[in-house]
Amino acid sequence: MTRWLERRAAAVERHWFAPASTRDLGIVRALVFACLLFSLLDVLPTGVALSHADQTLFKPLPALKVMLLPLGWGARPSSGLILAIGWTAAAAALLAALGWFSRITTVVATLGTITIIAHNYSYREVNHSLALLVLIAAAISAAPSGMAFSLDAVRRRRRGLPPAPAMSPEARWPIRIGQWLFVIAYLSAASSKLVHGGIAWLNGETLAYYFMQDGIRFHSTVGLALVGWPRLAQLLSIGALGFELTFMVAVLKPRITWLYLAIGVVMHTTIYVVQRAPFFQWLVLYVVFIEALRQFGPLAIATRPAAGVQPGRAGAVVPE
Amino acid sequence: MRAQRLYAIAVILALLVPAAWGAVPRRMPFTRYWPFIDYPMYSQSHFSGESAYAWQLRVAGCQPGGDPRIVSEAELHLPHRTMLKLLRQAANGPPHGKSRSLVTDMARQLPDPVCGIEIWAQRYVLGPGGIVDRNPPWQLHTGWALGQATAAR
Repeated sequence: MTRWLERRAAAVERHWFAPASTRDLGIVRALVFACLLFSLLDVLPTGVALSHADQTLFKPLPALKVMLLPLGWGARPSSGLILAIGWTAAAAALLAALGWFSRITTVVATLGTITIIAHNYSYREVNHSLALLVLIAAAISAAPSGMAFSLDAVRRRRRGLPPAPAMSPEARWPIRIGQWLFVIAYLSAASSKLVHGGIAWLNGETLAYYFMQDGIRFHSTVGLALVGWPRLAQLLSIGALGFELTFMVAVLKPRITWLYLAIGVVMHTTIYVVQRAPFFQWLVLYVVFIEALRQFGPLAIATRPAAGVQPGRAGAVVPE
Repeated sequence: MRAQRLYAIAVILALLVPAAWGAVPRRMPFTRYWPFIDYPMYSQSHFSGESAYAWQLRVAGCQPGGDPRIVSEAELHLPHRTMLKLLRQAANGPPHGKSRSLVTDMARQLPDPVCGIEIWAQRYVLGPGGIVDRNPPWQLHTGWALGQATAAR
């Protein structure tokens, strides 16, 4: 029993802290903060418009109260302040994507984005498509993500300093946090369906109803057309629930990660076309699976030598 | 090295534990704001015969004989989703509820004086083979008058 526990503990240790490519972490940082930049530029005009909305609509979220504490508990920011915070965060996100003073710019970009999003959600309408992006950005901003694939690395080289190591335990855990956040998010969506909707959620009429509801609200002709196909809606329901319930396989079995991500791309694209729910950030955030894709993705399999060198393991808890 | 490891563990727990806690489904959905907001949305089951609505806000001016005009979300500085949610709540809420007060307050901010507010709806019904009527008529769902004294600006 003790040895079994020791083996499990060692597997968990490998899963979170086995040395990983610092270049992979740099690529993840670059894409996550580029995504943060585009998302900020997308939501900032809404934030400015909302700052002119009627005062009675303003109901600040706890996160906004904390972030704007210097102005007073629950203070409502002016449009000028929203613009200043937004543009500062956007500039920081750009520099973070480039890897310039990464330890500072990643933190500024993340905190600024949290403030802008919390403000936008303080007018009685909350949403969730940006939550995962912000949480993954927070994980990366807590780590030394500028070791490679960054202007920080170029500066080190020019100063004649020794380069950062190619492999580091510090490059593993931030990416793992991102992977498990995906698992939790999908599991949350699946368990909510089972608890609130029950097995009837799979009846086909449920998804057809949502196609109709969103087709009306967001003028989706594809969504309205699909309402007439309840059997197809039922198949899509079963597929979506199965994907969400089992997504942790993508983390634990790196050999089939690419398959899950391919299904995810199709699922989120379909959701956008049919229901106008934009989750494109999530597709970019799939970059947190970069190691498994590099080692076991279709491209890696196609270019792998017939015999000889085997790729290294992606640090799975469950040995393959 | 040990301090680095403890720091990493603290970050992992700080980000994943609240997320996992928030992911546990509860009987009271739509009330949590962090870390995953409103994930229970789209989780209720539905059946043939149920309806979905399109909403529209119209306001009547204070001049006699004028027709009510449609108010867009841009005039109220609101995103499309927020506007729809507010109209749905105001249409289905009590006559003296908070949502109707909000709509009233916002209507008063419009450039021209407003003496009446109307919420119109299109009712779509899910049938076994699709939507029963693809182009249902707009119908007055609810409306209320504003006193002349309060409407004047």
